Amino acid sequence: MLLAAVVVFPLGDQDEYTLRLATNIFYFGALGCAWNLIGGFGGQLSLAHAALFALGAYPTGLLLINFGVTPLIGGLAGIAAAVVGALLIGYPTFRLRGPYFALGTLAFNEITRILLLYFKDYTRGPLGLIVPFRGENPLYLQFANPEPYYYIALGILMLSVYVGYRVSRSKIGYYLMAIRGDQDAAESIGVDLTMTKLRVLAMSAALTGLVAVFYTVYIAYVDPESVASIDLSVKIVLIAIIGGMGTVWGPVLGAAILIPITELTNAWLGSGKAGASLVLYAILLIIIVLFSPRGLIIWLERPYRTLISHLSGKG
Amino acid sequence: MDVTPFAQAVVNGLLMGGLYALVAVGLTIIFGTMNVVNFAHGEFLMLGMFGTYWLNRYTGLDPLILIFIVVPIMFLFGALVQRILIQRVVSDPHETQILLTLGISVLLMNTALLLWGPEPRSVPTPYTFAALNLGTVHVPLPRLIAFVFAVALAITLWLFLTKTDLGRALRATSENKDWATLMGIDTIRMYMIAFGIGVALAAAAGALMTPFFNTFPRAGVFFGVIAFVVVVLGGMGNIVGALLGALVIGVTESLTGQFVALDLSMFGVFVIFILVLIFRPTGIIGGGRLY
Amino acid sequence: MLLNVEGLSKRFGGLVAVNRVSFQVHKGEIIGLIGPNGAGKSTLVNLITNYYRADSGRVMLDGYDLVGLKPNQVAQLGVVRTFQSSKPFMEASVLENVMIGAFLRTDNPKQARAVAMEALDLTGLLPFASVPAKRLTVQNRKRLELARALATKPKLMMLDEVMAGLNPREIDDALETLRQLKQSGLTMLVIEHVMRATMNISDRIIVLDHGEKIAEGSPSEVATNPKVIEAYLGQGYRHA
Repeated sequence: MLLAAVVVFPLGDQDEYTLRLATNIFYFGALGCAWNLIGGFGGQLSLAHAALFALGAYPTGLLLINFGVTPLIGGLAGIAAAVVGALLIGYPTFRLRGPYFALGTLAFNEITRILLLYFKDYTRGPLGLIVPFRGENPLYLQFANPEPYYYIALGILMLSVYVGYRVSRSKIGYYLMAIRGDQDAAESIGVDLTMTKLRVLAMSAALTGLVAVFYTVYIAYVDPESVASIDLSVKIVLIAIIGGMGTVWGPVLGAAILIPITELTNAWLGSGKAGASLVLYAILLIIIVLFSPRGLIIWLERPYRTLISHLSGKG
Repeated sequence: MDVTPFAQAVVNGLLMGGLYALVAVGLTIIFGTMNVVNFAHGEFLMLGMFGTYWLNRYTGLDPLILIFIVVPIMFLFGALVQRILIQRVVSDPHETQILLTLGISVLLMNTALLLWGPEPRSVPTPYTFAALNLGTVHVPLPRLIAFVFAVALAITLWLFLTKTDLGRALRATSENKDWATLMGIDTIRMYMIAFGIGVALAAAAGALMTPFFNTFPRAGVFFGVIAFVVVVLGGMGNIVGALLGALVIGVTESLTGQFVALDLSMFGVFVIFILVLIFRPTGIIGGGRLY
Repeated sequence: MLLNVEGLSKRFGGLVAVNRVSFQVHKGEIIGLIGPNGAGKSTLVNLITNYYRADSGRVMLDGYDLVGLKPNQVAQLGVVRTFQSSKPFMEASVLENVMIGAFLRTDNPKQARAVAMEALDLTGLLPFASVPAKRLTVQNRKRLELARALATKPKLMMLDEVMAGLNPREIDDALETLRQLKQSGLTMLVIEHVMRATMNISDRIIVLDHGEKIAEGSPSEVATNPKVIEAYLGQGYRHA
């Protein structure tokens, strides 16, 4: 796995377009990894992660715009909000099974979006928050060039992958496996279902919130439609699933495939045809679900292992 | 005290509730028969709307006539979707089913977006702005007609399920699949029919709404979510529950919009949803099936 | 005395599934729990582990009342059960399945692995350690249930029809494993329909019928008890 990390590191001196593309891949990959903790490892298909994302973005943005608080500090509020939101959502919904859980999270997601729109005096409603660029200021994470953003996003992605890796190898990761397998059996051998799920959801929320903080300064525009809608929730889920849910690198692969697809279809058809990339996502998802439920990453696993054994055989 | 705003809200709520009922009954039939939660349900409603819109564009016929074309087509489409896609995951874990129907949902909505663009379209009818006036309560005619049609459809469905052999076979399959197979019922065919009916009902609701509700690709999301709320409220698989639940939700939405805040009308609905999910997931009336 | 069940009752709607059942389990015993189909045996186990909450009664384990706890807390206190239709974690390997059980007593993956390997050894599943659970045979799935429960280092293990679906040779293997476990000090409650096995292995037998305890005693006492014979004969039940 460490070898794969090396492959990711060709630190670009490419043109701006490629850097931006890569940055997008990184932060969506991080979102996918964050979701994967509870959704892939835990098997709890949360559709509320857009809400968690919004809870990370709005406090950060509002503190910055209204009070001039640097996102380095404001971001902590954002992450905290995401975690608290997650616990509030998780506690009642985790007792639900299967599709009821998905529906419950969907409802909470919509509630969050509605509330963000409604309290427009505080959140600027549908107009959204605009983070103005007032010149280069690292302390405020404002950079004129894309490179710093690239590295920050990469760092966040690496963190997310690392968390996924540690979880998968730890007691809580095994307990998640049990929960995903059979919740009754898991309970009968001592797994505290709710606590385990809440812990993992909190981790997932914290990471999601972290990406949201980055998003706030990078994209610099936050509005309910783009950060709190079901579309975003679904997109995150698709990235994780298509790549390989329940695997450490799956969501990264998912982002690496899906984000460029979006770019290509936007370029090809013009970004007015926003639906095109999602159509492709959906077709991919359906194919994956029916024929390769563990995601695309398993197709890479075998050649990867062969590569490893060749390299270590020769070494 | 002037009771008019209250009465108005209740009437509006009931009228919409009738349409919600159609969609919800469709969803609950699908769940009752094959234990699949159809996350794409709203999109089939949307397709019903678009089907009606385009047919109206080319033939000029009224939606109430076009419904007789749209519904059978959607029935066949639904049965096809079931046979090709859904059938493959009928015995798979819930996660797989959720992901598949979610995928279908995204596919249908975005294909519509791609083909027809996001702009809302309307289907003009001569009676779009007509209304009855019961005392001080203003009853818009299109909504009333839609409600009546919905009731008629519901009655037809009830007759079908109770009086015909096919309907009874369907009910047998939802009660107990293995038992039904032993009786010689072809369960796959039943599933196709059930899904087709479920989806056709949603499309019918869509068609009925075209005179007073805009047609656009994302329209399905709202109704899909409402359908879920209704079905959970009434009990998954419980048709009567869906009917009653729909009326309750319609009225709740309307009252919340009227007396709390228009923007928050859905909020009230969602709160009820969460409360039911937590405290009585088998539905207010009970008799629903838990997973 | 390890476990003291006092007056345990449960009704589902109008049906009384378990009616004022009381009995004691002593350390190191194997108790057989038998009765015709629908007698309430599995329900009793579900009540003890709080998979269902009892309507009334107490289950005293070392002075703690188990009623009202969550199933994972009951496991924590040392009472585990296997399920009638085995519930392995399908996608996980055999080793991973058992490690999850072992994690009840440790937070350390290495330690959990070690404990799991021991349990696999005891149940003869070592050669299957890296096989995904879904690919196991019925007999091996039952063994997996057993191994997983063993890894939690229980004080009392309740086995729900662990012999069902096994051929006579497999039954003998299972009996031998149970004997070994008993020797290592494990207390067990065994629900079985396979009479030969139950009579063979149990120190004491409790008989349930229609949710009530109708007899209790040594295997020979119970086998000749007229109430027991009547309960079974009425169902046309055949002795194994």
